Amino acid sequence: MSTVAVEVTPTLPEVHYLNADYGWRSWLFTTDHKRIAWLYLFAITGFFAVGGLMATLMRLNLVEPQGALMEPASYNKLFTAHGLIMIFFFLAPSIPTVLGNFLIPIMIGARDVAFPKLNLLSWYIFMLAGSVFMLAVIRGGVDTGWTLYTPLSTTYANGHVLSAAVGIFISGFSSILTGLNFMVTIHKMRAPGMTWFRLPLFIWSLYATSVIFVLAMPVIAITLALIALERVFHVGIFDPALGGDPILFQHLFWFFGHPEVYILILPSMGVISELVAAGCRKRVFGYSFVAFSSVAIAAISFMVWGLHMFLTGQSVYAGFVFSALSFAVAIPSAIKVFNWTATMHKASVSYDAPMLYAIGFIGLFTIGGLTGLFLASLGTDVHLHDTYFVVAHFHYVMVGGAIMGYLGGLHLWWPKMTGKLYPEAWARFACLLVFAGFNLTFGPQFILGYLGMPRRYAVYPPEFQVLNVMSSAGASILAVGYFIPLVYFTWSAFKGPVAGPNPWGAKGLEWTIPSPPPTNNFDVTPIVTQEAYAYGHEEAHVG
Amino acid sequence: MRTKFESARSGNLTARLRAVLTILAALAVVGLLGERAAHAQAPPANQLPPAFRDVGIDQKLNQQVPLDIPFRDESGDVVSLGQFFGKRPVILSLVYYECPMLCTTSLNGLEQSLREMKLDLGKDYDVVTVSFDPTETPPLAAAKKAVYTGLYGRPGAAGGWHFLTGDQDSIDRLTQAVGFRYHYDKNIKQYIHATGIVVLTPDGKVDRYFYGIQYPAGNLRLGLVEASQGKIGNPVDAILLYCCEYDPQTGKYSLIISRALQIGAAVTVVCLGGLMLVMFKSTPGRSGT
Repeated sequence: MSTVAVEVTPTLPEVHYLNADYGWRSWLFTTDHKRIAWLYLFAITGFFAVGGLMATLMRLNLVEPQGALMEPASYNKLFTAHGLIMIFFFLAPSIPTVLGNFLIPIMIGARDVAFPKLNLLSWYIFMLAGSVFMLAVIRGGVDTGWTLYTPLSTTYANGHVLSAAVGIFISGFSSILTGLNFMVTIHKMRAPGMTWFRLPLFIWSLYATSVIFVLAMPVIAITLALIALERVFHVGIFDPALGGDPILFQHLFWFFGHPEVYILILPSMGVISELVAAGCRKRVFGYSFVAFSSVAIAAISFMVWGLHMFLTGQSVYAGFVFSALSFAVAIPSAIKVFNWTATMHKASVSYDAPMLYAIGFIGLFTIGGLTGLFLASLGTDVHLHDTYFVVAHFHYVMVGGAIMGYLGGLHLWWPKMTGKLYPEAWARFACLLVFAGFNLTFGPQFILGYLGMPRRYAVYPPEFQVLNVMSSAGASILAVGYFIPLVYFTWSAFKGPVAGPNPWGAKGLEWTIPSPPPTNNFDVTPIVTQEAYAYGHEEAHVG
Repeated sequence: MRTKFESARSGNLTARLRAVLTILAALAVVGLLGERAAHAQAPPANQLPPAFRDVGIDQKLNQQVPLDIPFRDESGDVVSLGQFFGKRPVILSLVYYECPMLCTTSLNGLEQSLREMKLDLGKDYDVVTVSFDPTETPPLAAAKKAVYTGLYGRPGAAGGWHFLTGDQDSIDRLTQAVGFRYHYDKNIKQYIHATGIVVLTPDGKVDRYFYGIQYPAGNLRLGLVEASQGKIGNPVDAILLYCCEYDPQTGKYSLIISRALQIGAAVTVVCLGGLMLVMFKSTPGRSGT
């Protein structure tokens, strides 16, 4: 950890947002963006635990070719619930609602978001959505896979598709409101002098994410409403017998679904920019390229949905175009990866936990992104479609990418959120466990998929057992890696050493105020005269 | 004449025919209102019993109906079908006047829909009802006309609703042109047929079919407006027609889901784009310095 140069032991401020008010009302009715961030943190940690438990059960079942634990029907319900919970109730809200809520106003020099009450309402809507969804899971679950494809979700549905869909439908409104709130905040609440190009890159990526929230979430909401319309009122939309078209569902779903992938990864990319800058104590190389690559990713994400449908009999020419556009997404993604790497070039890189997560992200995301190109190619996709290769690919992006970013961000800003330090050695150890466990879990799945093991099966031929056991072993290491931070973060919140305002010696408005910040963030509205990464001559001191 | 439709059929078949008739009647009474559901449950075409196969309506969309077919009008004068075309869209209903079951129900349903519509019979469109029983005569047609124009009640109806009769050759040409299949069952001394109406363009092309015995006025209105090629209707119809599409499978106008989604998407993008535009333009002082 970067040492704090001052001799004086840092002390906690007397009054800050955590102790300004007490009692459950002060939390459940708060409009303070920092407290709402905590409400989200608790909620999504719960969802992550449930989703993770389901993944654990699935991996346990796959230790034996015939399934060690459960009936195939239960397995179907598990992977469906795992996917839906992780996507809609953990990954999508994770960075925006926890780190975004906490940091956006502070990073732009504001006292709160533009609509604080709406912000709290978003959390209640999210909790309502989560409750409705979990109720559907408890009452018997859904077995369609997270994609909810018709006719599995309509004509042949035998689970609680409708109530699960209602949960997801509601969660969309939470995301839309959060997105709108963030957009207006970033436009309207910036402190004097905080120009667009002085903004931290995290803000740029959350702005792009917010746009996708507002544009993509209504699509899934409408699609699910159409399912309800067909199932309840027998209006022919997806069922050919009623004059509908099941492929329409896939078009709609992926028109939402692919941008959704970028909802998950863009905020993480924003976090990585911050981690790399703080870890290297340097301005991010090619700031404007990194900033605009977020916008480019958001824009292109709406034009690539057909890449998920190469095998549905869509026109070959449409396939060409979708394939080419999907390859095009690789360009802004690669710009980011190269610029982060270039930032590390000749920098005095610290290997603290946040930076370790960032480095882990860069490696894993690169693997996840490049294997995506195999799936975006018309020819190889025929072989790899619906195999474990796909599972491995998107877990490299979602877990290796998005979750590494989220955890890295938590580690960087934990001292700001709590005013306390966590044990650095444990944090590094946990990060290495996560990295190793992750690769052991999902690396073999690339090979399994290439060899032809289809996804979503509770059983498999015996020759795949070795690789499956490796994967399950990796998953247990990964689970330990996720559990350790839960323990030391909890410990640190109560008993950790005091962090001081800027334990990393990092730049950016959030490090200029006390840790934890006062309820109003800034006693005086800051006048911004320099960019977020003004690592000027301090660089010379380090190393 | 009727012997033309007779064929040697076994007694066994009679029973089956009766069963088929029962089904037909049941369908008719329930009303093909629930035709989506009925459609979903109907057995595939290749499993239909033979009698059923001879009966039905094949859609001949966009095909020209020969306008030179001679018929007799209610007063017994020889007319050609073309006399009723040229200016307005035409609703064609195929019935036989002494039909004990479906035809009267169908004509009643048609008359009811016409009455519900604001469009005026004889001014905005015409109705041509043709008997497919060649033995029926103009006096019978005149009696029917008196009943239905009387029920309709608006002035001009007599000049707009025509009840025709004709010989077998004329009937064959017309029914084939619009894909109307039926046959005579000598055992029950009735025609076995489907019911539905056909909307034709002013120049005699097949435009739309409506099935069953009731024709929702809103759908029928849209059909007429569309068939008139802009000659009748109002701007609201134009918007409705943009969003609703005639579904040949069910013979109804249904909201085109994709069109509705396109409009929704356009509205969303315009709203969000507008919001962003306004916000980009109105951040004075904040982004200065």
